[in-house]
Amino acid sequence: MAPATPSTALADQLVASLLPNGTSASRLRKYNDAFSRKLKSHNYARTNQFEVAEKFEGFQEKLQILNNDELADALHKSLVRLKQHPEKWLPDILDLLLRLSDEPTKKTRIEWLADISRGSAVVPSLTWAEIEAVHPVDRSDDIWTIARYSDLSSDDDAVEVVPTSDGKVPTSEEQEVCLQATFEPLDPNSGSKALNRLREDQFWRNVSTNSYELTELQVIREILFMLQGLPTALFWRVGNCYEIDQRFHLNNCSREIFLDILSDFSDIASRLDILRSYANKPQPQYVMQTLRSALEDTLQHVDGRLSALEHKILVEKNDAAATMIQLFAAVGKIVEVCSPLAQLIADIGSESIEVVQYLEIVFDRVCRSQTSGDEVGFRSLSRVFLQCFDSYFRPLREWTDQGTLADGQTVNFVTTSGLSQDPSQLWQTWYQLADDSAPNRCPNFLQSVKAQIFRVGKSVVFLQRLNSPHERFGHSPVLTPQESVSTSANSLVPFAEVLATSVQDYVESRLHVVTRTLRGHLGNDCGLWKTLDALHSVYFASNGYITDLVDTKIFSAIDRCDKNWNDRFLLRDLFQTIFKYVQCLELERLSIRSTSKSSGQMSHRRQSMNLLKDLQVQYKLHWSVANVLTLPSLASYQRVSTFLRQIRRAKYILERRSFFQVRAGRPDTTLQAQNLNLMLHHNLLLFVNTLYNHFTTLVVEVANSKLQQDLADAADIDAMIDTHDRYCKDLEEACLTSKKLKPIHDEIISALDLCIRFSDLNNPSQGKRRRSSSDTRSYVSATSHQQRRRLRDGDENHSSDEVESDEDNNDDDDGEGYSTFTIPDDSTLVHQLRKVRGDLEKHLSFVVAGLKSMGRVGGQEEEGRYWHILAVRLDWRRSSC
Amino acid sequence: MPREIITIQAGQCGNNVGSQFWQQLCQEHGISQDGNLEDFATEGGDRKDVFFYQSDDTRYIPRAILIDLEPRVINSIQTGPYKNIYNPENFFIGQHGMGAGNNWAAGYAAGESVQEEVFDMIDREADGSDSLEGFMLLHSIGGGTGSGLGSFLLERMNDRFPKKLMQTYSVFPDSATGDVVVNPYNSLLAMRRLTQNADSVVVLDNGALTRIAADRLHVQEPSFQQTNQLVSTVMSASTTTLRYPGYMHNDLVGIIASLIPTPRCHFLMTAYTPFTGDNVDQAKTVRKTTVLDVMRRLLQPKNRMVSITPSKSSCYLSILNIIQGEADPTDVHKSLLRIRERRLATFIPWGPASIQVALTKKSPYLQNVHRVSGLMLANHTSVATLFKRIVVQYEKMRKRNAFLEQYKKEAPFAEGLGEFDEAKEVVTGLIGEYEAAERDDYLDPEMGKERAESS
Repeated sequence: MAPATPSTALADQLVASLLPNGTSASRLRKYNDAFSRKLKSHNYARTNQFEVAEKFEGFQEKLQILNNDELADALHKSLVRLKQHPEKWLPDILDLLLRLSDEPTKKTRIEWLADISRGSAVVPSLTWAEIEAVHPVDRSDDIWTIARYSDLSSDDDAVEVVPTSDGKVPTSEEQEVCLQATFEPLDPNSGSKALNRLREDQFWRNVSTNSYELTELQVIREILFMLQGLPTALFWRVGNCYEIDQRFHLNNCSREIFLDILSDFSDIASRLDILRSYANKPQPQYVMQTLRSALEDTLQHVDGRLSALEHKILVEKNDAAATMIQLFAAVGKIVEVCSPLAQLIADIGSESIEVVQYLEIVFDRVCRSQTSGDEVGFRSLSRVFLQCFDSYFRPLREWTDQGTLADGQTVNFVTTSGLSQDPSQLWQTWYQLADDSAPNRCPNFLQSVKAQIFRVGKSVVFLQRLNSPHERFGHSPVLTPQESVSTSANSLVPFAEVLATSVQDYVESRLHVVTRTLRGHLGNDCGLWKTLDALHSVYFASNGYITDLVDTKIFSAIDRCDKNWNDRFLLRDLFQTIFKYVQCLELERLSIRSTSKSSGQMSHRRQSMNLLKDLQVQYKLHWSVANVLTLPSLASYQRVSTFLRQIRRAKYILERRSFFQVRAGRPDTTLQAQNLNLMLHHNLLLFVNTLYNHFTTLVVEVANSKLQQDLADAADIDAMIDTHDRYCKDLEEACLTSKKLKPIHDEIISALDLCIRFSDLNNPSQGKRRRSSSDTRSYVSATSHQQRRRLRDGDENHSSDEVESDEDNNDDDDGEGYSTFTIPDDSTLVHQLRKVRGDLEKHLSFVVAGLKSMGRVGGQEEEGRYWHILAVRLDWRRSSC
Repeated sequence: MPREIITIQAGQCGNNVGSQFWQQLCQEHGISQDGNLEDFATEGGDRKDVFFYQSDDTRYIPRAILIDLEPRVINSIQTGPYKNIYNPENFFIGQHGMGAGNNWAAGYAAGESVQEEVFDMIDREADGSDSLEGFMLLHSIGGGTGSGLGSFLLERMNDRFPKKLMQTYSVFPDSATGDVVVNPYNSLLAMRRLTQNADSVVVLDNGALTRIAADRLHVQEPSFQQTNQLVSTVMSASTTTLRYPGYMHNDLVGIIASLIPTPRCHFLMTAYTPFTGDNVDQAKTVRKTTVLDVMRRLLQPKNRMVSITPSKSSCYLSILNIIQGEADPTDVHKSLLRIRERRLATFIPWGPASIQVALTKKSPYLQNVHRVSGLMLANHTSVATLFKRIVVQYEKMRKRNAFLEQYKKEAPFAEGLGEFDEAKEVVTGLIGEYEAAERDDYLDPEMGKERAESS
């Protein structure tokens, strides 16, 4: 206790003055102590002397303003006087006075002090008890009732009425005892018996350096403490193991046996310690946190059972003596679940490992424990594994249910690729699967469903992007491997199989739902089938009539050597005007690309079919459809489309430009040339028709119907993409536009070029520039009709006069376009025609031979490509001749 | 730019066939008897505008001109069930209602007097077209009006519409029965115009039609209506590719160009299988119709609309098979390979074998008994046999100077019978052309020599 000082005496007085009379001495002392402690320990801030001086200045000023100069002067003088006696506490005293003052500017008279002392008498407050004593209140009146709404009753508005209470919580007698119970510190020097006994019981305090004999109960207690992770005297913890204090021995047991038994216990304890130390370590990964939580649960359970055992042995009075052997058996049973876990933790090691690796280790151990028939191990490990798996699978379930990937998620093997966010690339590039070497790789036991999980999530994202109502695909089954897994290691079904089936069932049913919904959306809302029809119409000319109208315009512009034949604005207008009759087409999706503008003369460029490569008609796809019909595959459409257009150009030339010209014959031609003309025209036309017929009615048509069927049957979007990619590849090969068939393709193009050459040779205005025609369909002139008629009449001997007059008349004919081939002076038309025929034969032989060899080499590949059929059809003449 | 085709029906036969043809087209396109589109006709994809135009009140009106010198058939059309679909301004009946009396010369001579009125109609129709593809003339060549007036029109049309195609569906008389004795005269004279002025002639042999009706449809004495039903079926099938556009053969010039390699050999035979229809219930027999069956049957002479037994040397210049219905393209092309392997068809020696197949839709509004049906348009040299028969019969009658008087009365023969000789010369030339077409050196004598040397 602190020594009494004058200040403390004052403090005591202060306390006494504040406390009501009648306070017991002990309580008074207690308050005094508390007060003085508080007073001493309280860190009061020093009074700011400048502030006090300022206040007094202000006070004086105020008195002056209030016309009380005398008092202000008196105060000033007093303050000046005070300054002559410097005192450490002066500012504090003055501050105290200021605080004690009560309106000093108003109450300025000394005599008023008497009123102050009188007015300060405390008036006792009136209480309700006094009032009610005089005017009693009828508490039974309704106005005093308080409604209590009972939640037990289901009756509407039924209220339970209870009388008003004072709100005090009733306290039972027992509680009172507890409340009053206090721990009183035992004075170690008091020499109490209980204390001495306690000291005796704490044998470790009395251990001498040599040896100490323990009772078996003491040993048991020590063992139980050790098992519960508490410090003991008998066992020293060294690292992860326990050392036995050799000084202790048991009187009824040989030293060796004693140490042996203790060593067994210490082994158990060290295993438990492994778990305890792991459970104490913070884990950053949620899966590992789950493991930690599972271990904590297990340890809690074990500790609980050990405590119960301790209680049973030490507290319960039973007659039988407790032995270590009994304890060993009992403890063994309790901690048996910990052994496999400890082994697992040891396997995991102290170094931090990746979650996936950890899961795989646990999974392996579960499987191994089941295989080896270790029921306890299997049960505990499988429980831990399933908990961790559930935790691991949670983000994956979010992915499959909501299509969301948590930010910064490193465990999930599905990640965003970070590439372009173009919705048309959603399926292909937005998301990716982690590599097998990546830290977030897919665990081995999920490899079989990895791709399906990936697809489910992407489908969900796709559907959400399509604003599909979530209820159409959101109801997902619950993944409950816990229920499916038999806890018995003797179960005949392997754990791996059960887990795989369970996950597989979940993923497949989910995949089924989302794929069905997505396919429905693609087909109905996004117009996949309509788009396919539109593509076939635009690229493959499925409506030949419509395409013919467009082609006629383009080809006639080319034949007029119009440099702007592929002007994209004009052509776009043309396409939109004509294709508006095609119902499946959305006109705004049509666009034209005029690729290259060669600087070459149009008159030369028009002689080759390759000119048509400068024109690309494109049909832009809706982003959802573009995910299935991918952009690279549309390039195949383009190549096939160009090839078909090249054949159509040859057809146009032979049918629209040359048909009547050949029949009419040039005025200067001989019968031989005329006949050769007819034959060559027939051969060329047949070649072109056979090609076009083959590529359209057989290749494209069959491939299209197969595509539609395969797309409808496709299991998911990946299968649809594969189907379409395969279709494009097959189509390109069958249409000879793929790279490996380029030689054959080039020969065909060369053969098609011969059609232009043939047509130009026969053009009456050959070699002359003609006026361009406004009527693109006027492919025959009145003059040529006359010649035609003559030919039908069989009049072969027309005079040269007539020829001249015919040529004169030709000047009026403006419907032929013009030819850009000229016959060299040293050559004749017949010679030229024979040359064309020779070239055609050459190209045709190459094509037929090439196709036949491709057909032979192709074998299975030939399926769907029909090279052999085309070769046979082109080669028909030879066998029939 | 619909590439319209205007149909001209001349004479009794032409109008009868035409009326069946329009009835068939109306049913196929879902057009009612008053020209309005039926409520059920909602499927698009067909082109009605080739053969019909839409009037201001959106009715579909055939682009047809009906011409006859006697009123009977046209009157029956005007009072028939489909009377309202035609443009009433497109009917032409000879002034006095006196027919041509099975006399080509009378029909031809009448042409001079009626041409103004008739060409007004034709011009009006032609002007009403965006881009006229050509004309289709339906007529018979054995009678008077169809043969004579038809010949006159062909001649004039060639001059008037030089840039347009002229296709005829010509019914040839049954040479065996010879119900009209002067058939050979009329046929020969009309043949000259068909040879010189038409771009393509679809030959419909009345003898073959009767035989098909008897053999295939089990009708012993078929009525005109029944044979006309066959003709209209053939006509509608041969125009399917124009009316239901697919990848190819969407225009007349495309069809004709591939079928007719040399301008004079432009007479096409047809074959159709299997025959069926409302009017020929008897034909609804159970048969297997696969693509191969259809294509094989089309090559059988008994299914041809021309009654000829082909000689050994005869051959095809070209074939176009129009297959309707559920045909798998792969089957079609396999069938072609089969035809090639088994040499089911012989083709010209001087050029490649021209056999093409067009797959077309069937009308969705008609009940089809058969899964697949097919029409063959073939350019075959044996068609010349028909012409030979005409020439032979003509010569026999000419030797006897039989029935020449009535011809002499008419204008074309006012200056003698030279017209007959000229016509015979043309037809004989045509026969020669077909015979030549069977040889190697038809168009290139050198190639023939090479072949001969190499063999």
